[in-house]
Parts: sequence; structure tokens; C-alpha cells
Amino acid sequence: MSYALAIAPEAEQDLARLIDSLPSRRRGRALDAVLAELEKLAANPKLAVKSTLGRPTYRVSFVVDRVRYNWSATFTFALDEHTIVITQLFRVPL
Amino acid sequence: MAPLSRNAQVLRYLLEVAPGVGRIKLVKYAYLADCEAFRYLGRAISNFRYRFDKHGPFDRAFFDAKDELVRGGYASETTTKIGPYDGYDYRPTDQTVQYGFSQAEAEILRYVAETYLSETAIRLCEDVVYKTPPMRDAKVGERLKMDKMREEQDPLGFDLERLLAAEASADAGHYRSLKEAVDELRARHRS
Repeated sequence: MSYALAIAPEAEQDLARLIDSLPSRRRGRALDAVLAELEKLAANPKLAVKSTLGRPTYRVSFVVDRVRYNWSATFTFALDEHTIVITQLFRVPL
Repeated sequence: MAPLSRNAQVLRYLLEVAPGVGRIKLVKYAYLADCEAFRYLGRAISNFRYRFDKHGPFDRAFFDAKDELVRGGYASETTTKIGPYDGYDYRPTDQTVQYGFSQAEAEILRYVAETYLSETAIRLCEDVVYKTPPMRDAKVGERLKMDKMREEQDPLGFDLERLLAAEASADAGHYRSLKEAVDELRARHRS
């Protein structure tokens, strides 16, 4: 079963800031890549690891214009138990 | 009654999450919480100044904080035998405490005590405490350099306080479909 994907308002701001940090020509493809990566998580949340103070954390790694970006997402399960809510998106060093 | 010192509050909070721990584990929990706090908040939670003692990080101020808890009736201290040695175990009493921690600090204290609750004192020291950056190159007797935990702050990096705010939003049902949010961002960048 695949989970529905949702995002908290604070994480929306994180995503906007991360996307804004990229050269404008890469932004659209980066958004596509982030969505594609998070859909893999929705299909299999066990891909996440428990790090970041015990929160499930999923590495969002993608390439645009031959440049690799390494971001991470923390998430929680909504009360309906069918939805993954992204709670933070952030840049990681590697 | 005078409010509890910061160090006594730290020990008491850890005891609430992990009642019955001994001295060595209690000090190590405080140390690990301070390490995590340096990493995520850029500062310690307690006012302990750790030195590399014979059992790892320690500050004699631990005794003052522990005595403050026991004398004030905030924690009990029971002597136990651990093999040939005398040990102590500590438990919180029913007396309420007004904690002065931020939500992020409380989260770190809770996380550390819960995560390492099942470790023995020896394993906690060998597998975790001695591998922390302040302990790695330290010599016995030296003051530990806690700011080795501080990572270069990336404005787009992890932010614990924002995470807690987002979790509160999620718990309150304040979220929307990721696709909708992404489509909106895409439209913003197109225009």
C-alpha cells in the first residue's frame, strides 16, 4: 500500500527556500526530482532510517544538470494512518 | 521554596524518563544531552563543565545537583550492591518541578534517556560516550571541548525548533497534499 503524501506548512517553507537556492533553470527539474524521490518513500516508508533525534529521516538525493543534491526529509504519520506528512526538508553535507 | 538549579533540573528530568538509573549513567545522559544540544541548538542544556575523569566525562558539580535533588525531596537515592562495589540508584519523587526548558531542550533530554535506557553503563561508555567528538582526542584530566559537537550552521540545514513546530502542525491536522504544494511552487517559479 502506498501512503498519501502531505506536507506541513513549515516544511513547505523549507522546500521553497531550498528550491530558491538553486539556479533558476534547475528549479523545475529539482521539484520533479524531489516529488519522485518522496513518492518512493510513500511506496515504502521502511526506506527511511531513524536518525535526527529518533525521527524517521529519508535521504532525498537527485541529480540536475550533472550536479548531485543531497537533501533529507523528516516525516511523521498522520492520525489517519494513510498519510505521510513531511515535517522538514533540509540540506545535508554529503 | 527556591527553584531548582539548572543542573538539578536536568538530572531530575532525566530521572523522570529513566527512573532507577545509577550515577554513572545519569552523568553520561547529561553529557550526551549536552552533546546533542550543542549539535542541534549550538549550546549546552546544563551548566556542567565536563572533564575526562576515570569513568569518562564528569563534573564534580554533579554531586551538588544530586544533593540538591535528594535534600529537597525531588529524588530518592538508594544504595545498591553492584558486584563488590557500592552503587546508587536514583528515582524521582512525586514532588512537582517547574522546569525551565525550551521544548527543544526537553525533547533532547527525553530522546537521550529513552534511547540509552537499555544500555549498561559500560556499553554506554564504550559504544557511545567515548566515541563522541569531545572525548575522542581528550586526555584524562582535561576539560572536554564541547564545542567540537557544534556543526557549521547551514541556513538550509536541519533546524530542531522548526521541526517541532512542523510536528505540532501535523498533529493539529495542518498540512496539505505535497503535490498541491509542489504545483504551487512550480507555478511561482514559472511566472
